[in-house]
Amino acid sequence: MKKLSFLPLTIAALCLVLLIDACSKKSNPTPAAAAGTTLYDSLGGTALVADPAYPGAMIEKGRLGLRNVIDSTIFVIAADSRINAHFAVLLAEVGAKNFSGYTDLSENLTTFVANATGAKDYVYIGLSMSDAHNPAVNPRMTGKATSADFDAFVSDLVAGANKNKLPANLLTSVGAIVETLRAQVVQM
Amino acid sequence: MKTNIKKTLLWTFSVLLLLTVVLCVHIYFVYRPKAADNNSRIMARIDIKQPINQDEANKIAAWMYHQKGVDHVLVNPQTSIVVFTFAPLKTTGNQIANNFKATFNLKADRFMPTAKDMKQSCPMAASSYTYKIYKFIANII
Repeated sequence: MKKLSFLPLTIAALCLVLLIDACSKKSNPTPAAAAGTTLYDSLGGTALVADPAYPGAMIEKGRLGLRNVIDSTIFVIAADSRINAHFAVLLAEVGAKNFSGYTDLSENLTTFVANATGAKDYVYIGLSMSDAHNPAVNPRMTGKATSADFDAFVSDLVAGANKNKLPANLLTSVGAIVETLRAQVVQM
Repeated sequence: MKTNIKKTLLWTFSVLLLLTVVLCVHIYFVYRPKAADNNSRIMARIDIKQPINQDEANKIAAWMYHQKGVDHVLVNPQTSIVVFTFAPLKTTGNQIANNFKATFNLKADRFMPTAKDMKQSCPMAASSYTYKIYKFIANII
């Protein structure tokens, strides 16, 4: 029966180990083994490089390439009066010192596109494109997106890609992936 | 025997309570409103209320890039809109907008979306509950 007195200590030790393990912050994603050639691989894949936006941090080269395109696209969209009303959240300094609008959208969109282009180390688990653009599911959508809205988004994406000198063949691949989303985004 | 079981339960409960408190404190520190740091960036927009040409757009962009704290700029001459990001530790959007108006002889205002605009914008910003839980856990680990 004396052994029983060690039980709480064992439980405590186990909990402590789990807690310490859970609290150890992972600063970098684990590089995955390259398998096949995806668009993500063509952009640099899982090779880790210094992240210019966060000194001292590393980022996968493929993700960095995509993030550069996404960030440029966000700028183009924010200055495009055809669709920028849909992206007011970018200017999220308004209110209680919420600085996250621009960076959150950049991160979210980058992860989505990274997944779509073959990234293995990042998982997009936001709303599906269909739900995100369905006013019945997503209260942020006050109306359905039109085909003209989607065309404007695509042209802004192309402009963003061109600012980053994305090679034409890769731009075509990105365009093809985005085009597959048209039916999910335009629900009219 | 009974005393030992009681002791064991008491110890277990105490340890779990302590760990729960530690976890709560940890979550609080992760989620408490964070002050802006050197990596923080804010996007802002200035609407020019008159047409501009490409030359003027280039001049505006060049001037904007010389402003302290501004790191990326896009001037769209078709829409007369200036979009830029800046480091909140070095400057503010209003300061840049005011300097802009003082420097250029243009009718211009900083665009500030309303709270309603913010709630209704960007479908990608709306996240599933799974995503919210993921973000919650990801921030902890």
